[in-house]
Amino acid sequence: MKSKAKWLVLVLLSLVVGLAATGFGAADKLVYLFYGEPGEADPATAYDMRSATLINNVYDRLLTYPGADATQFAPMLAESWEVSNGGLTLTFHLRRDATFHDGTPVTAEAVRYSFNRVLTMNQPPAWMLSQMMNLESTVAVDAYTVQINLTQPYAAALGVLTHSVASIVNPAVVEANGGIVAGQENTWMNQNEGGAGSGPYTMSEWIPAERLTFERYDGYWGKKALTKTIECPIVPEVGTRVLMLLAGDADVHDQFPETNVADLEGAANLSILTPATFNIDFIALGCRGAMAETAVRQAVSYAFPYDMVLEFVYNGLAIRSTGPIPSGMFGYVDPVAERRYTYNIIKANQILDAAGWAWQGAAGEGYRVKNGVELGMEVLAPIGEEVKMQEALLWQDSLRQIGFNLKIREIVYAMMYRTVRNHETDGIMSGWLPDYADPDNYVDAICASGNADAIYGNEYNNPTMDSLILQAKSETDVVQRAALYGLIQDLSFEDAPYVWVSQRSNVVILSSAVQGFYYNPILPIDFASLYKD
Amino acid sequence: MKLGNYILRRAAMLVPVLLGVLVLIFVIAYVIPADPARAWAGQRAREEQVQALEERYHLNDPIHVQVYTYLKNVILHFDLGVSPTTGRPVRDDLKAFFPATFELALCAFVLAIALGIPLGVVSALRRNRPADHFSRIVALTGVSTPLFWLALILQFVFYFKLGWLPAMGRSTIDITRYTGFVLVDSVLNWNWTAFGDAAIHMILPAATLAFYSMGYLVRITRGSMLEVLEAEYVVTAKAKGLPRRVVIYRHALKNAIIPPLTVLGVEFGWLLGGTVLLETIFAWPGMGRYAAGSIVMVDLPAVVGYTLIVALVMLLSNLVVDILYSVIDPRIRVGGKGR
Amino acid sequence: MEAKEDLLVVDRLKTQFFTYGGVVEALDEVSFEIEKGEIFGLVGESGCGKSVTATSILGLVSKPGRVISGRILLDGEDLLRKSEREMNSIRGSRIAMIFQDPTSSLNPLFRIGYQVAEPYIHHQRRAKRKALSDATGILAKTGLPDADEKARNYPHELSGGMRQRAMIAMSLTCEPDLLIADEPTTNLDVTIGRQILDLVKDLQREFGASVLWITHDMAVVAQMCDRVGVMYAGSIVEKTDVRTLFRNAKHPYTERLLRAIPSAATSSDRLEEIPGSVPRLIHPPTGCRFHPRCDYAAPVCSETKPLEREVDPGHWVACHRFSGPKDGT
Repeated sequence: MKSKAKWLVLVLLSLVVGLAATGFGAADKLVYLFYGEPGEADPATAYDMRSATLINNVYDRLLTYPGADATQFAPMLAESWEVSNGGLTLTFHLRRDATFHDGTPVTAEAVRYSFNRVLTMNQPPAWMLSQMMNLESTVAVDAYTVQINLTQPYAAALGVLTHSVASIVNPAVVEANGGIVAGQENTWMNQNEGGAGSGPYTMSEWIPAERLTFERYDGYWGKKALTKTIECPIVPEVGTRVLMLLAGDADVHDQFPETNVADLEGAANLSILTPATFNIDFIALGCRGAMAETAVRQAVSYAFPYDMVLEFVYNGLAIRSTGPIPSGMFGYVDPVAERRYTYNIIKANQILDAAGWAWQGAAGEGYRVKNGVELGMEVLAPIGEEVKMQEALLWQDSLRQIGFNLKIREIVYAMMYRTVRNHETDGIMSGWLPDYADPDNYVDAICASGNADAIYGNEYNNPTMDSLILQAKSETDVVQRAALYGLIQDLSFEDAPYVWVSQRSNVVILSSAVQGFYYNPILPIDFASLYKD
Repeated sequence: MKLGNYILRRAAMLVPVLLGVLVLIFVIAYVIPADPARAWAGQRAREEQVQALEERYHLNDPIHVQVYTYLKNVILHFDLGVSPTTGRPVRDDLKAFFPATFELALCAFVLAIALGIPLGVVSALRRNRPADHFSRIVALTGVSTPLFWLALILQFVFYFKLGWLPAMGRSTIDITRYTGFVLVDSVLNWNWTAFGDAAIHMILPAATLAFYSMGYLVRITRGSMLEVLEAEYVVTAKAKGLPRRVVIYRHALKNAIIPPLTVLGVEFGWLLGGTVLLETIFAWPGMGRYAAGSIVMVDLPAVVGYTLIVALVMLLSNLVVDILYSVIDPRIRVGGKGR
Repeated sequence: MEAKEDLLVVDRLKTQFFTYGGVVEALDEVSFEIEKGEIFGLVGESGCGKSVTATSILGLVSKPGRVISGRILLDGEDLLRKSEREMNSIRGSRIAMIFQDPTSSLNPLFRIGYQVAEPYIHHQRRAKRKALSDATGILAKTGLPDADEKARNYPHELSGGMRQRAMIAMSLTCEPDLLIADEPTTNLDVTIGRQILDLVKDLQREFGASVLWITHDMAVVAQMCDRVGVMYAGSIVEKTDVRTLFRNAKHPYTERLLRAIPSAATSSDRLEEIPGSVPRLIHPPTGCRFHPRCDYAAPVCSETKPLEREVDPGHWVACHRFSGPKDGT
C-alpha cells in the first residue's frame, strides 16, 4: 500500500514537472510551424517547398538573392563570378573561410562533386542542371575556383544555381553514408544532414511526422544566425496551428491558408503579412475539340469573373495575373487595358456569335452549338484544393451565360496526372510554382508546345511562341531578352491557351515579438535573420 | 497443452490470411487508373525519370511477378521496400510510426475498458436511478459524437482556454527511443520528467479516441449485466446466501463480461485504424497519417506495409480475445476438456 | 401429529407485484405450517403462486414484487423482520433450495466443486481447500459417480441428472433445517426423476430436514409428501395429509386435479386438461377465484371469498360448499 502511494506521488510529481517544462519558452528559441512533413533533406532529391525550407537553411549555394529582391544576385559561397564565352562559361571564385559543419573547408572540388552527384543520381529536380550541363561541365580550376562550361547558353543559368538542387554538399559525409549510386536516391541523405551542409544552421533532429530542430552553426562564415535553436513541430491540422499561434506557443507560420486568416485577425499577439508570391494559378484549356478554336478560348477567358474570384475565393489574398510571368519578376510587362482579359459577358457572346456558335434555342437559353457539337468542356479540379473548386464553380455559373457547358470533375492527384497526359479530359484547374526566379522557368513549362502537353495535357502549339521562348533562353542582352518576354506575354493573351487567374500571396503569421523577417518570393524562409525581442 | 496447439494452429492461419490481404492490395493497386510513378516523381519530372521509377518499383511487371518480387524481399530480407513518397525504407517508417499509433490505441483501449465496463456495471446495478441515467447519457454521447469534433472541443478547452494540456505532439523531451513507445522508453531511460511529459501529451488524444469505445462498452456491459442479473444461477447464488459482492462481482460479472469481451478484438482494430483524424488534429506522428498520405500518392510499398501490419495486429488481437474468451468460458474451451 | 413441533409457519402471507400493467396479487393470504422432519407438498398448476411462496420464504422476491403482509416464522422467528444481512446468513444455511432446472441454475463458468463448496466458505468460514474436499464428500453422498473428478468439471460437462445431484449436494452442505424443492424433477426424464426423488427422501431422512416440496404432479405428491397444500390462483384451497387428500378430497379444484391423473404415471402437463384456464392475477375473479371454472359454482361464490375451515381434524378447505357455522378466527 505504502509503496503504491509513493509511486502515485512520483507519477503526479513528474506530471507537474513535465507541465512546467512545456510551459517555459527559452528566449533563444523560436518555433516555426511546418504544416506538413518535408519530403527529403537531400538537395539532389528534394523537390517541394518544405524540403527547400529545410535545405536552404542548412546548405549553402554558390549564390543567392539579396534580401527580398529577386531580380539580382548576391554572393554566397562564391565571392564573385564572371559570365564569358557568349554565356557558355561561368567562373566562380569561392570564399576561403567557408566550412562544412564538420569543419572541413568548402572547396571547388566539393562544388564539382555536388553538381555531378545531382546529375548522376538523376532524381526529379535534376533536370534543372541537366538542361544546361553534363558530367564534364564543372571543372575545379584550383582549390577555390570553379568553372562551369554549359552545354548550351542558358540565360537563366545563375538563377538555376540558386535553387536548392544546386546546394553544395560535403563529399566526405556523402561518401561515408552511401555515396553516389546512379539513378538512385540516397536514403541516408534523405533523412540526415550530419555535417553535409555549410549553412547557418545544422539539422540536429528530424523525428518523422513529429518535429525538426535546427541548431545554429557557430562556425558559419557569414553573419551568424540570431536565434540559437529553431524548433519546427509538424502540425497538419490548421485548427491546431491557429490555437498554437493564438496561445503564443508558435512564433512563425508562412504559407498559411487564405481561408483561415479570419481566425487570426484581431489577435493582439500576432501580425499578419501578405506579400505577393511568384506562384500563379491558371486554368489549362486543352486546345482540342471546341477549345481548339482560339475564339472560344478567348470567349471563356472573358467569361471568367476575375474580381469576384479574387475577392471571395482568395479572400483578397491574391492579385490578378495577366500572363505566364508573374508581376515583380524580370520580364513582366503590365499590359495595357485592351491586351488583358476582364470579366465581359457581352464581349464573350459577341466573339462566339462571330465564330458561328449559335444558341440551341432562344438566345440566353441552353447551350450553343456548331456543326452539331455542343459548346463546352470538362475541367479537372484536384480534390483537397478548395480554392480551385470554388473558382471552377463560379466560372461554370458565368459560362452558362455564354451558352458554354462546363463540366467539373473532382480528381485525386495520383489519378490526375495520367488523366491529363492521356488527354482524357479537356482542361485542368492548375498553376505553377517556380523553381528559380526566371521567366524561362514559366514560359518554357507552360507555353512551349512539348512541355505544355507533358505537364498540362495542353495541345497548344504555336511555332511563333516556341521560337520566341527558344530565342529568349539564350539571349544574353538583358534589354533584348525583356522585350522577347513582352512579346511572349502578349501572344499568351492573343492565343489564350490558359485562363490567367491569379498570383497568390504568401500569408505569413508572426508573433509580435519576432523581428528580422523578410520575404523573397523565390526563396524559402531565412531562419538566420529571425530573432525574438 | 491443448491451448498451445490451438494458438499454433491459429498462428498458422495468419499466413494465408495475410497472403490474401497482400494479393488483394496488389490487385486493387493494379486496376485503379492511377499513374503512381508520375505521382511520385511530380508534375515536372522528365519522362525518363518516371520510367526509371516504374522500372525500380517493378510497376510494368505482370501482377503475379510484382507479388512474387515483394514476397521474396519480405521473406528473404525482411525488406518492405522503399516508400517513394517519404524516400525512406517502409520498414523504418513503420518502425517510427507504428509504435505511436499502437501506444495511443492501447492507452485509449485501456481507458475505454477501465471506464466503460465499470460504468456499464454500475448502470445495470442502479437501473433507472441517477447513476444509470448518467452512464447512459455518457454512453449515448460517446457513440454519437463525431470524433474530430470532440477532439477540437477538448483541445480548445484544455489547451487553449485552461492551458492544462499540450495542443499537439507526443513529447517535448528527448530521450533515447529504444522501443518507439515513448511511455516505455521514458521508463527505460529512468526519466520520470519525460514520462510525465509523454503521459500529459497522451491524455487528450487517448481520451478522445477512447470516448466512442467507452460508450459502446457501457451499452454492451449494461445490457449484458442486466440480463445476467436475471439469470437463474444468480438466483441460486443468492439462495445460497452468498454476500452481495460475491453474487455480483463473481457470479454475475464473470458471465456479464463475456459479450463485451467478444467485441474487444474488433474494437481494438477500430481504435488502431480510427486514429487518422486524431493524428492530424493532435499532430500525432502515427501510422494513420502515414497511410492516408500514402494512399493519396498511390505509394504502393507504404500502403502494402501498413495494411499488412494492421491486418497482423487485428488478427493477433482477435486471437488474444478468443484465447481470453476460452479461458473465461469453459464451454468454448478449445480442443476438448479443460485439462 | 399434535406432538410434533412446527418448524415453519407461514401466516396469511400476501405478496404482490407492482407492474406497469397493474398490481399482481400473486399470494393472497397464504397460510400453512411445516412440522419438523416433515415433507410438505405444495401442489397446483403453473402460475398459481407456488414458486412465489418459495421466494417469499427466502426473502428473494424479485422486483417489482414485495411481501405486503403476513408472517413467516422459522422456529418462531419472523423472517420478514430480519435484515438483509441476517437473511443472508439464513439462506443456504438454515433454508436451502433446489431449483427446477439444474442447467440454468448452475453457473456455467465455475467448477461444480467450487459451486458446491461456496456455502462452506461463506457460511462456515472453511478454508477453500477444505471446503472443496468437503464438497467432493457431499457430492459423493448424492450418488454422483467419480465425485472427485466431477467436482473438477464444469456444469456443461455433466448430464442433467448429475447436475441435479450437484444442486442437491449444494443445498445440503450446511445441513439446512428446511429444504425447498421447486419441481426438481420436471426437466429430467422419468427414470432419472425417480432416482432423484429417492435420493431426496433418503437424504431428508438422514439429515432430518423438513422439506417444502413444490410440484404440479399428483403422482410425485403421493410418493413423497406427508401433508399437502393445494394452491389455486394465489390461495391455498385445501390442506390435509396426503392419505386424506387422495381418499377424501373436498375442494372442487382438488377433485379435478385428482381426476386429471392418468392411471400410469407418465410425463407432462396433465393438469392442463382442467377446463378453463388459470386466471390472470392482475384482476382476479371476485369471491372464490375458482368459481368461473367450478362445476358447483353458486351465486355466493362470485361475491365472497370463502374462508378456510377445518372440516375434519387437520383437514382444511376453503369452499362455500363446506362453510357451515364459522370457525374461530
